[in-house]
Amino acid sequence: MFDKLRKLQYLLVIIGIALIYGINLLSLHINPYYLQIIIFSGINIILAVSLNVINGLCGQFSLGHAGFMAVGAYLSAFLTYYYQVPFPLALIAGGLASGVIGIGVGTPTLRLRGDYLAIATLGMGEIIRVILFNLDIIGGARGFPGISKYTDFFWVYLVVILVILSSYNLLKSPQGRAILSIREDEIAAEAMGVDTTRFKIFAFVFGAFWAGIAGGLWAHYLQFLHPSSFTFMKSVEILVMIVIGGLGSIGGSAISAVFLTFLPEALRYIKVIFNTTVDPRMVIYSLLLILTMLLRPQGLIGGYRRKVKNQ
Amino acid sequence: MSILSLEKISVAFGGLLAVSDFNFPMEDRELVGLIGPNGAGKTTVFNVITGYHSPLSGRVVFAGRDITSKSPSYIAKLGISRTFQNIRLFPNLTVLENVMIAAQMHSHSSYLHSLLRTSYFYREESHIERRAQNALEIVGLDKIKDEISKNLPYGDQRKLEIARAIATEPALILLDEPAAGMNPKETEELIDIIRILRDNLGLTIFLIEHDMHVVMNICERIVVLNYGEIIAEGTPEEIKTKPEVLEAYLGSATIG
Repeated sequence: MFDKLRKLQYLLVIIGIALIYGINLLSLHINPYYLQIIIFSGINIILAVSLNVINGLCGQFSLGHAGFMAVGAYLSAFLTYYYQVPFPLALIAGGLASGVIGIGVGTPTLRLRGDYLAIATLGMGEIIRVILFNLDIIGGARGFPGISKYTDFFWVYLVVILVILSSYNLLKSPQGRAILSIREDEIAAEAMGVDTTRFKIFAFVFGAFWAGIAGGLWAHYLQFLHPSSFTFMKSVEILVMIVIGGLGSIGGSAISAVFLTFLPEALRYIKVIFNTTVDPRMVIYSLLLILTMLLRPQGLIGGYRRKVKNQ
Repeated sequence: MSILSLEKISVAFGGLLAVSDFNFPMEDRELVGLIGPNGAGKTTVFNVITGYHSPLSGRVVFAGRDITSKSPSYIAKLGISRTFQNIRLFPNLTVLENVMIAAQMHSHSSYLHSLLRTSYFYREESHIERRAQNALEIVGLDKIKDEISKNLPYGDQRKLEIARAIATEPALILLDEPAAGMNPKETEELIDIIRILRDNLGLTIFLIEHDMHVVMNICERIVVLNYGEIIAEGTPEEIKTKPEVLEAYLGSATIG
């Protein structure tokens, strides 16, 4: 029976990869504007699902995701631009570098809880951004132009499949239960033999790794990087996705990442329909967020189980 | 040889000496009760044994190993398990998941196995689940294993904590007021469970309890703590009549 479960999972992954390979062949015929939204959706799925492991499953309030993304973006772009490193290798290198930063940040700061951890990770993100601003070799404040366009539908959605698979298999495993127990009650988790520091760092490195890869995909799609893309607001944007989707829910994070990528684009039509000169997009966007929080505080998909209690 | 020995433990919170010069050996398979008025330092003793507090001075020796000020997870892995006075379940997880987290303590399955869903992963998962299931059967919660634990009635939450503590397969189990908030029927069930733990599982049990019915019924030896110091020690019959104990609980009566 277990063998069947494993084979089913392998089969689904193979079908998924074949599917995105097929769609990729057709992507030349897709309206480039739509294709761009689809690709940004994919990148946002990777970011949201990976942040969900840190914030939603492990319960560690991190605001450093833009920083992790920046490390992966810049390093992979640097490698392909200066050393012509093959794109997949550059992506992985970016992810690993970001993971190492995750360890570096995680080890000293994970003793902090709640708001204090949020502030520390926010500071970490800002430090990374300021460093990038001052590194001339990758453009500094002028930005980093001329990155090759390697990212396409196939690469983005291949990573989407991998990040969802690895998160799901994490959630349904001893390691995942250990991570959940930290969110639920850290003191009790320790008493059950869960090495809480180790698993918090694990969650951080896991999230940072995929965020780094998402950054690499982003860099090789836009072909231009600038430190100001990775501000605190970028982290908040990803955080909003997982809160709306339902903290702790992998599917919720993914769906709400797509939803919140499409929404601002769809709202452009309002301006056209009402033929106004003012753009009400951001007003409606914020109203939707407020309404969601009022009507469904546990998120759109997150069920009663995933409600994070105030400690 | 004693399985646990506390040697001259003193704990201070700021200027307050919560426990002072606590000397206490515990034999294998003993069932010892720790009683005393509120604020006597009973839970503090438990917290020192399980690594949540570092003592000001003194040593904790468990099975010949010095475990003073080691991390709680390390101590748990050596074989000391506990419950908490104010229930600490994993509230949003199911009853079974709660116990599985404890039951996986000795599993060596790594994330690579989980990621690739290897056959080792599935084998370990079914071991963990079986062990959790056994622990639930002992406390009688196996019928409601898929309930979310925060929705359980209070008495069942206490039992779930005990199930979780025995699922780690400890040698010594510390129960911090297991009967608190239980009705008389649940208390009787609890007494049966504790007897099973000692007789069938061969555990050494250290118990804090205010319910004298429980304490006098099952403990072989009782230690009375007041203001951080041991004021009496002995069998239930001896303790019942000691004037120091009566004084600590009821206040002194000056006669004549």
